[in-house]
This record gives sequence, structure tokens and C-alpha cells, in this order.
Amino acid sequence: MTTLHAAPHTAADDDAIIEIRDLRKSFGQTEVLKGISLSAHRGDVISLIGSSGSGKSTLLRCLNLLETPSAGTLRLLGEPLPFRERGGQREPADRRQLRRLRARLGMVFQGFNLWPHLTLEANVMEAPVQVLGRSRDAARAEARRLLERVGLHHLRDAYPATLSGGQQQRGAIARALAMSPEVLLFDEPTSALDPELVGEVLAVIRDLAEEGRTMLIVTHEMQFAADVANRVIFLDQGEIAAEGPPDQVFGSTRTERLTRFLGTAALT
Amino acid sequence: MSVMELLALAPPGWGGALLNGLWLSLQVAGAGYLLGLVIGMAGAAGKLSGGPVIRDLLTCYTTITRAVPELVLILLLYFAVPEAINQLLATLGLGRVDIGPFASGVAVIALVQGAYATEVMRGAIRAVPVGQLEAAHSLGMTPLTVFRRITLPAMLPGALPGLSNLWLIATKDTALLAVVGFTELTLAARQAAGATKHYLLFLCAAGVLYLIVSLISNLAFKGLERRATRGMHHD
Repeated sequence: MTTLHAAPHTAADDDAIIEIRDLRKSFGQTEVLKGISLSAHRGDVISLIGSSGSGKSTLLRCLNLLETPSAGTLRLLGEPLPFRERGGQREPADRRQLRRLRARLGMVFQGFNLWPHLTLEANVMEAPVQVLGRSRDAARAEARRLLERVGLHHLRDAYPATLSGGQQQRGAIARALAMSPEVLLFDEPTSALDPELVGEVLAVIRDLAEEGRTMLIVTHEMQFAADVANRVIFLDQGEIAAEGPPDQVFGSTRTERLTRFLGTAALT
Repeated sequence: MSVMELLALAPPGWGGALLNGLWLSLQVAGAGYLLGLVIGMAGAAGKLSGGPVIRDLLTCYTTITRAVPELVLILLLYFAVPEAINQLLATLGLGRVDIGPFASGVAVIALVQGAYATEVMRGAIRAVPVGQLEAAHSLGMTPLTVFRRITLPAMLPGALPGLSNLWLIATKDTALLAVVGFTELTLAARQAAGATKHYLLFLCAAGVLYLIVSLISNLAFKGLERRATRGMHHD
């Protein structure tokens, strides 16, 4: 299988791969997401931008249910995801379905979150072996291919603590890719990196975008957001304040709120 | 008799009796400790992710067990509990059961170690960065897989110092079983001392044996810690 350079296998369809409608999320009294609707189709690369606290990371974390939405409907990979109330808490009704869907959605975190007790290669092998039931040999061969691809083949036996942030994040991307996910979710993948390490991670993500993968990227890198995405969503105070192709959102018709945000973003 | 004759392995020397006592001590401590680890693991999991009823019950268990002196627990388990069980069995028209000193010793040590291990492991599990668990969940792992493959190895570096302490305490707690006539190391030493009037010699000999156990245990736990923290920052 040439998963490395082919887009994830799929029958051609026009259905949204991710569809959320009127999604709300509150933490205590604070409503962080105030009714977000959006849909992503196969091959979409969507940049989510907005100031800190605008809710963009929360939105992304709602998509694989690391946060449970307080209200709204969610369709992932064509399946509606039902919720139930238990002990006053809302939670996914079918944990099995949730795990099955999560295995098909890759997530890359701001803090890398590699497992420190495993080598880089073992980190990448872990989910294919434990979740998909792959043989260790097959998982190892795939892990090596992926580490080669993100430029870390020579460090496959290293433990995460001995690696730079950029190397850890590239390793975390390889770990997500090992599941052959149909959608990749990036939660501020370069925000925890020293400036000189940002480029190597962005290059890997750009490469993935160019092979037609479906991706949602929460980022503060405005130039990157504009370059890599076919759609930009600007979140402001828990609402979608602007949405469209990059040249339109960032272009002459940009809203006043976005102009203000871009002004502060350029300063930081 | 000379010191060498007194400590000779074969009678009339008492060395063999001491070693036999040591072996019994280690068996009780080992079995109690392992059972305690199982209880501690279950207790920690229950305290962290159980419902309110389970959490309250576990709090009762750890609070009471850690509050009552172990000597009292040993007397309770050796004298009172078998009596209660036998009365219950008698009313049901069933025969008597006998809980020997070995079984009650293991039970007490397991109960006490379980209470302390619950707290040690709870702390160590809570110290595992939540992002590592989120990463595991985001890949579709079941809660059991996450616990077995991620939480457990990630918490070990934090738990091992506490667990190694608990093991050393367990080996010395076995001395309390002398009160119920279980000839573990301490009672064996007292019997030897009483028979020969060489108190200093035999109590010191017992002390040296406890010390050797401690030193070897320390080495073993150091090795385990080195293994568990492989790849992590060392200072």
C-alpha cells in the first residue's frame, strides 16, 4: 500500500467528512463556543484562526470528543454521533463508535504528547498494534517509513526527552499518520516551538496538504494559514466571524474584526 | 558454646532456625506485598475514576486501615475474625474453618499495604501529564489499553520510590506476627536467645539478616527504577 504519497482511500462522494451544526460548548458559566456550524469535505485544508480564547482549540477538540459539546449535532466520517445524559453529564452514547471514529481521525497536539517511556519508533507503532491489531513487524516497517518521511529515521531509537521540540512534533505527526487517518486535526502544532524550529514542522504539514489530505489546522501562523488552506475560518469570541477562501478572507473585503485581529497578530 | 557453634546451621546451633524464620518472614511479606499491590492498583483506579459510592468506601478503607495499629489488625484477624466466621458457619450447621497464622499474616499485610499502595499509586497516576492520555484516547485506544500501555508505565517512575518503601515496611511488619506464635525471624531469634541466654548475639543476628534483606531490596528497586525511567531525564 502506498499510503505515503496517496490520499487516503475513499469512494468519491460529495458528502461532508465532518459536519457540525450549531455546536455549543460551555465551561461552567462561560460559553466558549456559541453555535458553530461548519462542514469539511474530503481534500479540504481548513485553517482555523483567531485570538487566544476565541474557542478555536476547543472547537478542534470537540471534533474528536476530547471535549464533549454542550449542544449541537455532529457528523463524523458520514456517521451521526449521538449523545446521552449520564449523571448530569453529556457524553457520547456509543463509546465503541467513538473509538472507531477516533482511530480514523488523527490529532496532533500543541504539546506533542509523545509517550516518554517509549522510543520514537515504539511511539509510532503503539496505536497500529494496540488498536488496529497489526503485527509488530508490519507496524515497525510502517513506522520506519513514516519516520523516514518526516526526516527522523536516524532517531527512531531515541526517547522523546532527548529530542528537540521540532523533532518531537514531527514524530507526533508520524504517530498520527501511522493510523492512516482520513482527517488530520492540528491543534496549534507550532505554538510550543522555538521560532527556529517552526519551519521544519510547517514543511511537513505543507507536504501533507499537497498530497490532498483532509486537514483542520488551528494556527497562529497567518502566512502559513493563508498559503496552505483552501478555506480559512476566523473565530472571534466563540463565533465564526469570517469564512472563505484565503484571498477573500485576508483580501480587501476583510471584516473590521479580522483587520483588528491581524493587526495584533502582526505585532506579536 | 562459641559464637560459631551457636550460629551453626545444624542443631544444637540455631542458625538453621533463624534462616527458616527469615524464609517464613519473606514468604509472608512477599505474598502480602503482591496482594497489597493488586489492592492498591484497584483502589487507586477506583478512587480516581469510580463513582461516588466506590470512592467513599475506598476512603473508609484507607482511612481506617491506616489509622489502626497493625498489631491490633493482626490480633483481630487472627482471633476475632475466625471466631466470627466459625460462629456464622455453626449457625448454618457447617464445620469449623481454621485460619492459620500464615494466612492471617498475609491478609493483614495485604490489607495494610493495599491501603498505603492505593495512595502511592493514586498520586503517581495523577502526576501523569493529561496530554499523554489524551493522545492515547485520540488514537482510539480503549480505557484498559490506555491504562495498561500508557498510564501504568508512565506512573511507575513516580510510584517506585513509595512502593520500595512499602516493601521494606512489609518485611519488618512480619515481626509483629510473633505475637500470634508464628515463628518468623524475630520469634525464632527470641526463642534462640531464650534457650541459650545469648540475647545480644541472636537479636543482632536477626538485625543483620533484616539489614541484608533491605540492602538487596534497595539494589533491586534501584534497578527497577533505572528501567522505568529509561529515556527520561536523569539528574
